[in-house]
Amino acid sequence: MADRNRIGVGILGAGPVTQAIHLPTLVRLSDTFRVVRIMDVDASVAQAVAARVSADWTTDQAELLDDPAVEVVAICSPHAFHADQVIAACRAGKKAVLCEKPFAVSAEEAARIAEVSEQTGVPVVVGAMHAYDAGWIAAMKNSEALAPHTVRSSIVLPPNSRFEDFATEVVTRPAPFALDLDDPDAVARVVSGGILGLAIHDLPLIRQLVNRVGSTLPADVTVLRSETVSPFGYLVILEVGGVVVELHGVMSENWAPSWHLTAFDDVSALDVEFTPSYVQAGSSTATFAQEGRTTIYTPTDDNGYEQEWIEIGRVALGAAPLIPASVLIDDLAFALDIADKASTAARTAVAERTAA
Amino acid sequence: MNRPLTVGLAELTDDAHRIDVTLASLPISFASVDVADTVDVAIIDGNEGWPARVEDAFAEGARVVVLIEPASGESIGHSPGPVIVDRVYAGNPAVAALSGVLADFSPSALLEIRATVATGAEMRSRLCGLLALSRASTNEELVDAEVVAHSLGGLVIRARQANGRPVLLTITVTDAVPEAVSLRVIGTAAAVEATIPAANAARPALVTVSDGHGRRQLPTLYETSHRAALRRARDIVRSGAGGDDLKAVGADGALAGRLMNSTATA
Repeated sequence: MADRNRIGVGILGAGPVTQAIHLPTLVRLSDTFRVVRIMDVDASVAQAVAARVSADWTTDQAELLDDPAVEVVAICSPHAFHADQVIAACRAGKKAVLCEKPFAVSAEEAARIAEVSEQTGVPVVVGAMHAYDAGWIAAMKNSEALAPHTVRSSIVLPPNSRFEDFATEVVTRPAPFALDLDDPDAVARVVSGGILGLAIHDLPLIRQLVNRVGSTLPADVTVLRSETVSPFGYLVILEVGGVVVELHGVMSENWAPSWHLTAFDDVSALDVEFTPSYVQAGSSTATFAQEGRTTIYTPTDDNGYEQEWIEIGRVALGAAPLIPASVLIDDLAFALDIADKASTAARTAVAERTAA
Repeated sequence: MNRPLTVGLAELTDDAHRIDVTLASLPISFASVDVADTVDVAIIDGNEGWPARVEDAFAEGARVVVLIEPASGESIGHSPGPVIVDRVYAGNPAVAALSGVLADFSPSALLEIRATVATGAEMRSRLCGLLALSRASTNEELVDAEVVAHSLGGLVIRARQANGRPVLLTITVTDAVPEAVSLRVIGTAAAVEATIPAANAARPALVTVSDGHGRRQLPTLYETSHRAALRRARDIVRSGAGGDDLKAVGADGALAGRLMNSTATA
């Protein structure tokens, strides 16, 4: 297809997420998108990754934002840079911005983004791929009576590199780091990182489920237990709006992934089994059981990554976002609140244990 | 050939156990007799007052007692004879193999034991069943346990075993799926998962182990805990061996009672 009919994409940050998720996804959607420029602070990485898609490269954010061929900006940098980059992309007058989750690290940042997005008219889409997952959407449409008393997110994964290597050939990875689980601050970082790096995939979905029966405002979120689990992960038990929510995530060297979001009420049970990140293995498989009957929503070949890029294509052409900014902000506030409360609780527990 | 052992069912108050159906699957080993007769094996329900019924059964000549799901918190200081405790989940014949697999996992790995139970289920008895499964699957005692969350929808309990292993016990109330218990341990380079069905039918427990060689399923055993308990009772009578199942019953009952009481006062 002629370049003028395709949406030009610029990407800020060329790490494993860009290499293993967004570039393969954009190749699948090459009738709609073309990558025109990639920026990374590491020139060699920027150049190498851009060469894969015959795009220009730069180490300068402003150069990418000033490029008129860049119509849509994807922000795949470390979390701390997200807010400023989203705002800069909006002010640059782009057609749309896709920001990896979390799109900000504080409620104040989120509010600033919403304000600038509204002022500039540039829509923002958050890369919460499970919110766009076809299996999840089908399950929610067909389980409207489910009013959960219990929700559980359990994510068991091998190290990311296993799946990145199935999706692409990665240049540069973050260095591994040592962990002292007797250090309260280290434990707090593991829990917070787990919530904002892993559980955050499911938190917008959990909020949708809980909102059926109660409030998910910060005042209605109570962390009942928070800790790390071996070999590397978190276990957090919450009460949210009267619903007991369990967040469990483990990364081990074992090859076998298991990613389930489950919800129960007295008469029905929903189980959504997601495919691992990175691997472009299609949508989730959702199972809904009620009154002696189990319905399985057949997985689709396209996954949430494709759907979120299709959404970017829609909003870049002027359609209203499926997920309004107010919901994105509330989702982020929910995630940040849980991460804050859970990491505080985990830190306190370790400090008390080591002091005893 | 040995004569069939005689079995008395008089003390059963819960026909859901359908021990008569299980006995019919062991026709060479057992013969049901009238309640007035002396029996080799007395089958007794574990509801309130079971210690007296156990003692009565031995006084009346029973050689072994099968005690089904004791949950009242009562105990016997010294049993006059061997007692086989029939637990729906801990007594599933697959648990022995599961225990062998779990022995290879580091005690730092979280043991998750999760039950789904029907609405109206008696929570204390279900909790006793999970405590017993924790022990049976790992051969470790729980030394620490507290209720983290409780509601009409279920219970979440965080516990620790004597060897330091963290344990998460959950009970979720729903009629959407059959009652069952799942168990999981995720180690550094391997994981084990088990689904143990209720004993209303002889559905097999499914135990899978994933490791560097792939994923394998342990052999399926189409036998309920009730049948396995009766076979054990038969073997004890014939061998003259003792049984020490009662040792744990008092501890499980007391812990379940304490945990349930904490939900009432919290």
